[in-house]
Amino acid sequence: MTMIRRFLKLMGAGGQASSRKAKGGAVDRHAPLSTSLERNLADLKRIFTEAPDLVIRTFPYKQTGRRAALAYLNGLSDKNSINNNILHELMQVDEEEGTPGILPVSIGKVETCTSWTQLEYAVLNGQSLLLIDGADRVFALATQGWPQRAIADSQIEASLKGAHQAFVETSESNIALIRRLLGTSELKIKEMIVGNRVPCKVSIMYMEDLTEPEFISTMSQRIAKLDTDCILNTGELAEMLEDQPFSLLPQLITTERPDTAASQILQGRICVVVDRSSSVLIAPVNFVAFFHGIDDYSTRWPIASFMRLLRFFACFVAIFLPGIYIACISFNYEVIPLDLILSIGQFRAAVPFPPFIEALIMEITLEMLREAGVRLPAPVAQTVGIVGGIVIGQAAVQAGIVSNLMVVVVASTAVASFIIPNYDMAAAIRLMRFPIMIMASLFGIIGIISCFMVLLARLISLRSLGESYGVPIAPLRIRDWKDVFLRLPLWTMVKRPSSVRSLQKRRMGSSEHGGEEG
Amino acid sequence: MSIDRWNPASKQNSITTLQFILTIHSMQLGVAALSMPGDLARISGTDGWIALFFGWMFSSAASLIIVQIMKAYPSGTIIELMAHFFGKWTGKLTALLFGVYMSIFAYLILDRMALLIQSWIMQQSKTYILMLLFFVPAYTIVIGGVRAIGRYCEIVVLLSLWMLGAMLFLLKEGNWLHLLPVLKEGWMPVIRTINTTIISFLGFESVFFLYPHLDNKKNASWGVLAANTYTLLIYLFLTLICFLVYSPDQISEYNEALLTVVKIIEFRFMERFDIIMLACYLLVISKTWVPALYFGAFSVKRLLIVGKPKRYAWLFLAVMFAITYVWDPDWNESQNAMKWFSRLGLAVAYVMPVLLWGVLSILLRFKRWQT
Amino acid sequence: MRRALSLLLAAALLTTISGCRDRVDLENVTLMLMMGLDLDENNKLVIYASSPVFSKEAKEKNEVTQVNAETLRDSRGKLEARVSALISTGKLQNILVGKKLLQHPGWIKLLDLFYRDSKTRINARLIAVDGPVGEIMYFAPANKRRLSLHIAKLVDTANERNLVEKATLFEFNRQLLERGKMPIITGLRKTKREVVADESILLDNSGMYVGSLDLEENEILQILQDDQISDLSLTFLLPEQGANKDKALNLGALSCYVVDVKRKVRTGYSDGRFRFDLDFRLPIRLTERLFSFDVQKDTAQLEKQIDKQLQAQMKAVVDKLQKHAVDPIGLGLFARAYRYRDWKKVQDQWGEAFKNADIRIRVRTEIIDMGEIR
Repeated sequence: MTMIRRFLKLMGAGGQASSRKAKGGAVDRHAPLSTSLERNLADLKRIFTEAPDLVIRTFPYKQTGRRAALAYLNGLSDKNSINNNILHELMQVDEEEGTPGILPVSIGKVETCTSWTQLEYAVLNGQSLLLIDGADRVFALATQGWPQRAIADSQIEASLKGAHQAFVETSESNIALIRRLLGTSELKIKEMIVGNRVPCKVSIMYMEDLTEPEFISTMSQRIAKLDTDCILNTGELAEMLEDQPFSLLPQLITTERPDTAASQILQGRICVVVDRSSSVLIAPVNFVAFFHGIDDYSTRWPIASFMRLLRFFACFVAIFLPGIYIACISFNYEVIPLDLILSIGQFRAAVPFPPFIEALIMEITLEMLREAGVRLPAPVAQTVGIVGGIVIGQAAVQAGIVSNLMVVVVASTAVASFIIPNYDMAAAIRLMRFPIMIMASLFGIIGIISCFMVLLARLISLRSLGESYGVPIAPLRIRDWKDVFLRLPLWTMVKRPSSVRSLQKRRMGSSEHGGEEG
Repeated sequence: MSIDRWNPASKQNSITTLQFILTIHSMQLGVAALSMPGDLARISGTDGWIALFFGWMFSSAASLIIVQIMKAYPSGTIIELMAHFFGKWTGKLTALLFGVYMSIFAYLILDRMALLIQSWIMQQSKTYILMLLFFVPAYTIVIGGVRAIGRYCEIVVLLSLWMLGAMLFLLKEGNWLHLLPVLKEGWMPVIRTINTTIISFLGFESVFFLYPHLDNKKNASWGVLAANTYTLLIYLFLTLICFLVYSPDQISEYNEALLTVVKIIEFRFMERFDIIMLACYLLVISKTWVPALYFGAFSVKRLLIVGKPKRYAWLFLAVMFAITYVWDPDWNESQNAMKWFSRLGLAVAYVMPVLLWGVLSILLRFKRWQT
Repeated sequence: MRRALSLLLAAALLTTISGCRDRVDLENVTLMLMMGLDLDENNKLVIYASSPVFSKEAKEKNEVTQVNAETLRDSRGKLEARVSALISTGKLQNILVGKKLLQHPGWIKLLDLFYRDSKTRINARLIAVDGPVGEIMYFAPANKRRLSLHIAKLVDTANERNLVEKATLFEFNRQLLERGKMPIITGLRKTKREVVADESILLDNSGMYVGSLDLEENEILQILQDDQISDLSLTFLLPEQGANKDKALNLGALSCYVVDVKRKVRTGYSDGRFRFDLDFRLPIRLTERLFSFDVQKDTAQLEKQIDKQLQAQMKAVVDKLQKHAVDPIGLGLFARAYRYRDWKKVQDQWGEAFKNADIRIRVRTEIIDMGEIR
């Protein structure tokens, strides 16, 4: 582990060095701005060489009569507001109408920049720069307006009865989506910048009166420690923040759903919104949280409880079923009921491969089919499903490559792994069954138990943001079990789950705002 | 990141009362439960279950005494306690004693577990390979320290509750007449059985090491009582089930009476329940020797001071593997070694606490009187 | 990193050195479903094995082999030299023992293998065969499934209807080692067209053949044992209602279901004899009545007539058991539980003590339902 870290650091250092060389020479980014418009514009052009999308418009500033220039990146800014709210005002409003000393633009957010670094960041963020001759500062006007997707339903975390809004690729919108759900001033946002080459805004959201301050400090420390070129995706950030990167199990939840994020924040967890990425991070989380869906809370509780039990059962099936099949066929056939064993025996007698190879063939075929389905457009993907499922399955049995029962086993494993609501967890589970299959083929049921023990041991020693991952199973918190394997009626959950260590325990049964200490 | 998971004084390594109870219970309930109904019946027939109560009484008394001792120096294990009161070298000696005791404990049970697998499921596999299968989880748990052990015991106890339920299926095979008359030969045979039952409660001496980790030390006394009682209830349940199902003379014929009796449970969807049961029972057995392994490694680390916990964990596992590779004890040797070890256990868990308590209370009174 | 490496290393180590010798794929196993033990004409032990064949190419789906051997374990090698794959007793269903063998003292020692080998299925049914075992082993009726499974089902259902006793290996061992109870196992015979399970074989505590009970006697025994599994159907011929008047049709007959058996056993000891008072209360449900009778009005009268019949039948069964000096009812357990001191004197000769015991039976039936018509 230490070796890899060192290696990563070396790589990072190398990258930095080369980037500095590429930029080097022309402009000292930390130098103060000049008061001369010409020099500033020349410097700006020298920073943005080979950038045809940089628009610089020079015009006389009517209020003072000085010359001014407006610079922005073509695709990233909203032309309407530039034309109507900036250029129009600046060029038309004259001394009598405007108040001297106040910028006569009708734009909400105006920042002043004093260094080239800030300028560069502002332009790249879609802000327009207003440079005025004779001033030693530059105004950055919020005219962001890059191409943006409309807010739509989430593809990967579809929900039947939950809200049909998913995050998009702009952190402002995403924060707004969460704010819409959690309209309280206790919702705090802590902004940080990650990335040396391409800075990326990362916002940590939490409820100040609920969230354990330790989580926030740990999280911001970890983010501050990151030393990387660029983050394009929440997944990348999650991987760098995880406690045990070598574990198969995901230790942070990434979600596309504002309602999921909001409900987690309400329980006292923190949520990290990454700009340019359509999902957010939730931390700290525990193992069981990966099996909870937002629909659990919008359906009635008996149904939700049943669904949860189904998911945990599916998790067990998805991990162990192929292994159990191999163990039962190769070692412990005594366990199978007699009538079943006789029919399995007949199927197996026709198959030339040992059970492990048989299972491997089918599992790998299945994984390929699934991957093929993801890559193809939806109508074609269906065809792949049919070809794969029916044709290959049926034909493989008839050709005597695999046995009937194996197809059943693989199919039910696949269905079971689709039930798990979290994609990362489902993927981890899919991968987990291969070592179990190997152990089962070597040691039968003892191999499976040994794998199970490894799983348990990992579960109890894993941590998410320093908190135990196995909670509330081990360490046991019986009171939290109302919302673990079952989802009991909401009115029974008077207190927040104690496993999140929220500052206020109660969430119900108190007339005071936000509850009281419990 | 670099928390010392083996430091008993650290708040990071504290365990809850439930974990405390279940860890003690876990060390008690292990391989002995499989053969115990038969062992009891061989000495005192179907009255053997009465002797369990005496075993419980003795073990509860001894564990309460241990708690009293540990109260004298609540922030350290028995090793620090001895070093504190009797000097550094006594501390070293204690570390050596417990290092040896716990290592043998762990090894004998791990070996017995491998033998069980070998005789019931994998007749042709080598013992050391079967042992090897459980090294990876054991290593992960041991380096996690007492907290990981506490959680592991918690989760395994939860996961093994269904087995007790499954045993209830046997009740319809049972005949209550087997238990009558109670005390058919008087108290003498029962008294002769007490020795066996006392040994089957061994494991509560882990309080020596667990006590400093307990987050609420006030609960220690009733915690050990709860642990002993829970063990007693499970022993009682299993023994009675066996006595009810087997006929009185039949039970003494079987080595692992508990496993054999499970063989007769069959469901339409699953036959040969004993294989499933034994496989799942391995989890229960593992929570006996994994804590012992940790205590052993911990003691040796205290003895030698240098080195990281990881090294010790690996070293211990490697030595266990090597011993089995070279020696490869068979059933008889394992049986004899256990018998020999149980004598050591009696000394460490029953005799030593009483003596130490006496000495300590005199010492403390003397000190108080002096100041 | 190092952990991942060491895991890989461990996995590689495991695969290379384990050799997985325990692994036998299902298709390489010959699952012995039925086993036969008998003596041939020269009084030599013969072992039969019947097992399914999985291959599609085989015409017959069952293979039966026989060998001469000293012990069961000894037979395994010889059998494996003949059958298609490796023999396993993990799914053993029936063990057929010839009556000839049952009459040899010490035959039970042969079963040692089954109890010692943890792989054997301990729920295999132990069945005594009237006649040569080989005939049944090689018998393959066209209108039945595999004979081993057919027999298993036959014995189970017959036992469920209380027609025969059923003893698994474990049950047999339990009864054998129980000094206060003698083993009783299923008896099977073969007619020209089918196998019939209509006997229960009485054995003494050394496993020796003593006698047998037929269907009706076994039903009565089930009541005596208080061990009836499902509804027990009894048919009585009541002389009071003109039974046995007509040769062809017997119109004095009455059938009923015994819904429940409530047994009370009182144990006493006097003059060197055990005394057992068995009180039975049987709620019954009429299923058939060939004579006319006003059940509503004269219930007590009819009940009394049935009681008399039933009591006589029970007495006859007990007399038969006492004559043979075997106690499959398990009265010895009561003697031990309630008269331990007296029991201790006779515990090793319980058969004799049972023979001399004074057993009194009282039956009280109670008609709780007369059916759909009056």
